[in-house]
Amino acid sequence: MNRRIFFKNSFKQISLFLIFFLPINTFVKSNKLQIKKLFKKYDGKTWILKSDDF
Amino acid sequence: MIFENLDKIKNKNFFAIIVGSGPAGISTALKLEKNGFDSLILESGSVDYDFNSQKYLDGDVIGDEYSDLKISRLKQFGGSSGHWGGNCNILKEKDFSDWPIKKGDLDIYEGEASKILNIRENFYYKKFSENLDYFNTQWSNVKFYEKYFEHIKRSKKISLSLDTTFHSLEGSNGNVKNLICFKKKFYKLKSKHVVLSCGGIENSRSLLLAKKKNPDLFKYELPIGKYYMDHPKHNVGNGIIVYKKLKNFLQNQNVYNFPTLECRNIELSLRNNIQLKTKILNSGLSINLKRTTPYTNLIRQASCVAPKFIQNIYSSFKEKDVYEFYLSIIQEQFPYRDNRIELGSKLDPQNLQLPLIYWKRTSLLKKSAEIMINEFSDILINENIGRLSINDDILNDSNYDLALGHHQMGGTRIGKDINDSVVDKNLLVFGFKNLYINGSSVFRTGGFAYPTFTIVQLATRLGEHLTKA
Repeated sequence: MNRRIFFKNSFKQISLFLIFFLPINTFVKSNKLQIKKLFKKYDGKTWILKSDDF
Repeated sequence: MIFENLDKIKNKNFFAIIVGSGPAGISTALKLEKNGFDSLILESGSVDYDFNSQKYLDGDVIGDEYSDLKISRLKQFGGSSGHWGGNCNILKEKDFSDWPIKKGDLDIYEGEASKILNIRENFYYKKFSENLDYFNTQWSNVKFYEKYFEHIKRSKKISLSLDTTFHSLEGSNGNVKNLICFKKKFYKLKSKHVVLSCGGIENSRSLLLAKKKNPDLFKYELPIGKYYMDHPKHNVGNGIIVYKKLKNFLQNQNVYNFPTLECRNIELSLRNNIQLKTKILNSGLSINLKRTTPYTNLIRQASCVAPKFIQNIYSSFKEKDVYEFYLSIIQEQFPYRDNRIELGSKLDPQNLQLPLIYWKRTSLLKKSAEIMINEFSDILINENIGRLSINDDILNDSNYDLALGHHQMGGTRIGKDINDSVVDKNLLVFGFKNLYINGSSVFRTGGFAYPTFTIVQLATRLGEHLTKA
């Protein structure tokens, strides 16, 4: 395997890894992807929360 | 000076007779005094109200739940300003879009109104976010009796008669020649100008009573009493804010001169763009802050519903950077023609008809509140500034809890057209040469701002106009 083919294969593998395993919101800054607004009832009140608050 | 007996002045011709000694009446009298003109203030109450005098302020309400009229108003020197908490705001530019005068016409009197109310000449609305403005409320320490009773007592230009009830008007061709009032007996008083400054409801009632007694004096069929409005208020809920994160958000938004949290109050209103987009009226959101610890009930509740959020902000408690807030909203009400003041069947102790108010709220109020709360909660969540918990009644139509009846507006509204307004841009009643209306009853739209400051601005402007008329 020469150097050129080695780099080509490595690039392919890294690209595939990035596409399948890295979360898309690392690259795309979108509020819709980042935040899910939730309403939670507790003790006669409704809390307006983010999906990762609990 | 104060007159115990009207016999001494029954033949005097005053420059102006002002009916009512509330913020509007006193401000007009002060402006006239400053310009060298005399006036007589007729106050139907005494120095202080009592159980019997409040019977004059009774009335009925048909429609949705509304405050008891004899509790929400006061019959005394200073009028219902005795209930006033001292809050002062200005109306927004947009609130004047349908008025025959613009905000600039009142801004001229901001300095004089600020002096009357002992506040600084410093009102603003500034951008907080894409859809919200922040603004300031100033607090006035003025109690009208304490500040102005002694002044009027000593004044050579302002006369005052207490316990004097307005009864009717006499005259012809739109010219009021005599004002009939009652103080132990009936008196006919003369003046160049007559100014009704009796309050948000009483202005309409007095005009309706005067029209009933002497219909020929009224040239036009005016919508007296129509387009009555109030400012519905709600306690929305409470929540948590991390100050450092709020500060970062404001810096990113290029918001400067934002009030520090030491003032313990942040106030937000909707910007014009979102109002136009969603077709709603404005609201003012008041956020009252208090520094908190991890051991309060609210933080305990938040730990149950949002444990990870509390975990993330836990270090901020050590830095004393976490605040609890209580949220209330004050809302603009659309001026519906059918919300109105009429003369009812109940009579006051002098056998004059008491007011009957038709008042209905609409779903527009709830929609406005929802959008306002949504906007605020989106900023808290998106920027991770804090979290909000709202009372269930905001989301529930049938239990939408309102506090009402203290900002009575409309009924003798300002305008250009006699079909939808009672007074012109100078507060002169259409078809009259010398009858003016003063106070919040002339408001064409009410905005969400506390009305007292605007009342004083309008009254000072009226004083200026009378001296030139």
